[in-house]
Amino acid sequence: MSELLRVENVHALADDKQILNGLNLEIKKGETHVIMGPNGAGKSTLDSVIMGNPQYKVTEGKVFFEGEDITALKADARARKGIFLSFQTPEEVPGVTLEDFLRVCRRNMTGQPLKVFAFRKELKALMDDLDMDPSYASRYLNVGFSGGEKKKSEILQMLVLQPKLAMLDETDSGLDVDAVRVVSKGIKKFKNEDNSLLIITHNARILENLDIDKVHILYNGRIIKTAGPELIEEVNTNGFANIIGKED
Amino acid sequence: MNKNTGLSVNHLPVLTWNHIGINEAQFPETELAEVEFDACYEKSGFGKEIAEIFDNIETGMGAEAVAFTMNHCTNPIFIRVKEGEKKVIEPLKYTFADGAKVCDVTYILAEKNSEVSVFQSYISEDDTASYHAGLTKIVALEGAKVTLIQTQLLNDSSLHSNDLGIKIEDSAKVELVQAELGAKMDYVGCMALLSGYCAEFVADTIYYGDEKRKTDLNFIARHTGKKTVSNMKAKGALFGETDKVYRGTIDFINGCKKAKGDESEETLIFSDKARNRTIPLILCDEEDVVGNHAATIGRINENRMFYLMSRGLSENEVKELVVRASYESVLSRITDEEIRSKVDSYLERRMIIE
Repeated sequence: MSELLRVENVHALADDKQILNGLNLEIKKGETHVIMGPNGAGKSTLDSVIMGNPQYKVTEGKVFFEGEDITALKADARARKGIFLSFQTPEEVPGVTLEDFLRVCRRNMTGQPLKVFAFRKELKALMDDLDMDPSYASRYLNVGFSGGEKKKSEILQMLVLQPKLAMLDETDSGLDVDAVRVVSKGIKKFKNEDNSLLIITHNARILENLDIDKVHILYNGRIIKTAGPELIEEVNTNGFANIIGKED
Repeated sequence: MNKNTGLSVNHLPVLTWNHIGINEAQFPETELAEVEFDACYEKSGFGKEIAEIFDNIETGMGAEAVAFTMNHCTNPIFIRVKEGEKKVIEPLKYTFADGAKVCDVTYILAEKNSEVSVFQSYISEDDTASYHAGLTKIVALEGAKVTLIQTQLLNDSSLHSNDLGIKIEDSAKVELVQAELGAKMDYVGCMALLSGYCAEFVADTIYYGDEKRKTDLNFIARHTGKKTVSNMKAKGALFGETDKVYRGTIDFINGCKKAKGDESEETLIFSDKARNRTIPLILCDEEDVVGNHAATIGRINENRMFYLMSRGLSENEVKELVVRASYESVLSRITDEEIRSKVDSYLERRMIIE
């Protein structure tokens, strides 16, 4: 399998505070990776840095996507190359309906004009899969959505935009059991042998239907341990103390 | 009137520091034939009593603007909707060409439990410098509902003043929807007097400033009736070296118990050279009221910008999307297809974000 993403010795600051300290990560096409780690370890920062959030400053190291150095690219250029981030707290945008927004984004990504009715049909089917009331399509983007609907809206966006790499930042947090199941189904629907996932989670339930290739423990802005899916069980049983203890 | 400085308009109800320059504004006069407005009244069939009610209505721009527009009125329009009637008035479309000068005076009388919707549009058809002074007065009697939708797309060399005076009686409601998007000088004043029990006033205004254009807005909701409700919203985007003033006043007069007034302004600023002055004011001579004001002024929040860019939209596409989104509540109310398409192409043409 060929390389999709390579994060090479990345150091990053937020508000002049060092968050990532020489982080290395490589994801191949078709792989699913999970990032775990205690609060404040730098998990969300990693996603933000890969997506190109200007609030984080990369002071050293590089990010490569399909072999190309994207460290200096803005978020929109990275998105158009096929990177997607499902936000932990998605923004509300009054005045833009979910359907209109997705149509603009899809057209932007593909550069092709869209057939309105075909797109609407596709959207309706995807919303059905995610147990989303179709009326949400004509509601303003995330405005007044419950926490669960916001997360479903993120997964819907992922399914519509079909990125090569989707990063899910605690997409399961705040969801009840049924909603986690639905979201998990959406993620499974998205996943195929050509695209990749990078999932940040504290919750093993969302991973149940997925074939996990690698699990990483992030601590103090670096990956301190990488193993197979068995590591999830170990963390769930023993917590991070053992792993972090060895590092400290 | 002062011939050197023009008409003194858009007075702040309570003066503030002079050096801020927002206590009032000046709007130029123009040469136009004088008329006797009383003669227009006679043709209206409004009768003396009703004429007196209209005469006593204060407006947002003030007495000098009212006198000038009435004394030079080119287009008097009188709309009367009888008790219990429901009417949608044929759109009043004013097109400006060859340096046209228009002073239109529109009086709308909505009798008891009637409903009326009025649409006014002001659009340039060429690049010549036109002059427009509009005066619209509305009287909504008990239980009446009046909707006034206005669009203004005059060119960069034209002058535009839009003066409104509104009186709302028991359980009546007046809704004002405005797209003030053009003109070299875009001056709007609106005074709504909520005099009746449970009277309601809603205003939703969008504005657009770029290059060296000036926008000057003065909105006043004066509550004298009990349980009256006002909600005034203004939203706009500023580019280039534009200069914009927004005065929003909720005036609770003694006796307007349980009245509620809200006002908010959202201004997106895209240029360091653009000048924005906002003065929200709540005057309170009655204890048993609720007044709220909110102002959001500045650039697009960086979290929102990152979120939208992460979906593949460039910075400029995000700016355009956010401006259009903030206009949506007003644009969606412009149901006249011809005007809506002109508004869309106007914005598309002007909104070149760099």
